[in-house]
Amino acid sequence: MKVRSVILSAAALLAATAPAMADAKTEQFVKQNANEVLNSLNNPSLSADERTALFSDYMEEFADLNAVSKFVIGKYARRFTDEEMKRYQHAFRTYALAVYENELDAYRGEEVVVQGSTDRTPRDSIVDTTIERSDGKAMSVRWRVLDRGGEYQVVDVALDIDGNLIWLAIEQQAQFLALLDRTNGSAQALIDKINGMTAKLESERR
Amino acid sequence: MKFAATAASAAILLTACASTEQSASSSNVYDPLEGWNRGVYAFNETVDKAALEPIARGYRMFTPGLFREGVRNFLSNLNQPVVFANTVLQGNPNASGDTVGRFLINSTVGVAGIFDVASTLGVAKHKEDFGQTLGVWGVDEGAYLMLPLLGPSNVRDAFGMGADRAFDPLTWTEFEDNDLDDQIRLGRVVVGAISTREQLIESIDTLREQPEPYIALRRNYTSQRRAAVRNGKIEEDPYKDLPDFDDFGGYDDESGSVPEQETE
Repeated sequence: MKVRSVILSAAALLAATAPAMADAKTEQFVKQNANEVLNSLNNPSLSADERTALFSDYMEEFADLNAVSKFVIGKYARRFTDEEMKRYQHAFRTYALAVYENELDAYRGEEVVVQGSTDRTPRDSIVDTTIERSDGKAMSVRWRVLDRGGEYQVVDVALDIDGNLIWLAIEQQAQFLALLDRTNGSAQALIDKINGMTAKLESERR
Repeated sequence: MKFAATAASAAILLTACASTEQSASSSNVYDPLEGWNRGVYAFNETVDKAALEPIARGYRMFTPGLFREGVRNFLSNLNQPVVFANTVLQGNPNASGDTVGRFLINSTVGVAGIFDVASTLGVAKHKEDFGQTLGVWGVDEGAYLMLPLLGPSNVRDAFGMGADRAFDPLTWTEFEDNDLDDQIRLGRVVVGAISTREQLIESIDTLREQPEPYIALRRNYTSQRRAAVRNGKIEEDPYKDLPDFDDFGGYDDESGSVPEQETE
């Protein structure tokens, strides 16, 4: 009986502490990787192309771009042909990396400070961070992290604009779905639009 | 303005006849008049590109930043009585005090509101209107509306705009010269439109680059207004409506067991 109660107590203790451990791990994951990503943009010894390549490597590891690319086209992920999906995902990946690089460039070299986290489910957490900008203003950034069998990856990022949380992938999805609905689900129309936006972003890159 | 007000009233009537069913999800925007709204949006874009945008760009090019700031401050100061009325209606005495203080300081030391001395002294600036007040009182925003020349709105905010005009002392001020009344009102509307459009140059450029500008504007306007009703505070449970990413593996599944994503 004594052994059984010890095991039960240990199990109860584990169950009680599990969420806290998951939080700490997720927070550590965001802290380490977000800082690595921002530092990759702040290496003066790298050329612009080298910087983009390093940033992209970190982002590929940090974020689940495959899942995001499917999320933002919702039901059309099942309707595109394999060939369309391949071309779309290539276009999206290039675009997403360009967007993130442009957006995060304002915070290069700054420190990401974890303020706390919330578990939506044991595998779905949101980590709340602030990033000091060089102009002294702190930006609140929330990272949605999924735990895929011990592997953490970011699937969405929210910016707090005057109390208005803007989730980038969700906003993207609303627009991509509207474009696809309007064009009878044309993968080509979406790919053309994405490539146009990427070209514009790349022309503005420092 | 009269045309816009008539159109808004017509839209409100139309909406009142439409279904009142609304989703509780914070990411949803109720837009039963989307076809009509898109038409108005296209009309506004045409007018903007032909007239307002070039004027706003010219205004930026040919006037110094300090002058434009003075114009913004002056217009903002004129609106403080409306802000004050709404802070009172929202039961926010701190904001009411700030607003009276701002108006008195900026109208005197700030030379008729041209200089924002109050901000320099640390008196907080509040931005309240009757649409927000109705929101604070729990009135639903109703259907999304695109108003001719005025841009994005909804039934509640369009009604609020009319009420705010009633709170505005300038609406009731009578000058001996009747023409002067109209000239002042018209001047304020024209200068206000140019000044506002000048401030929005970059935002509207970005909006136009989006895959679906109409959808982007509709979502952005609605979520911004909801945040304004909360006075800039994040909603209590901000993650409750997040779509589930966990179903994603299912997108590769030919059986198609994944529920369709609906965020609009």
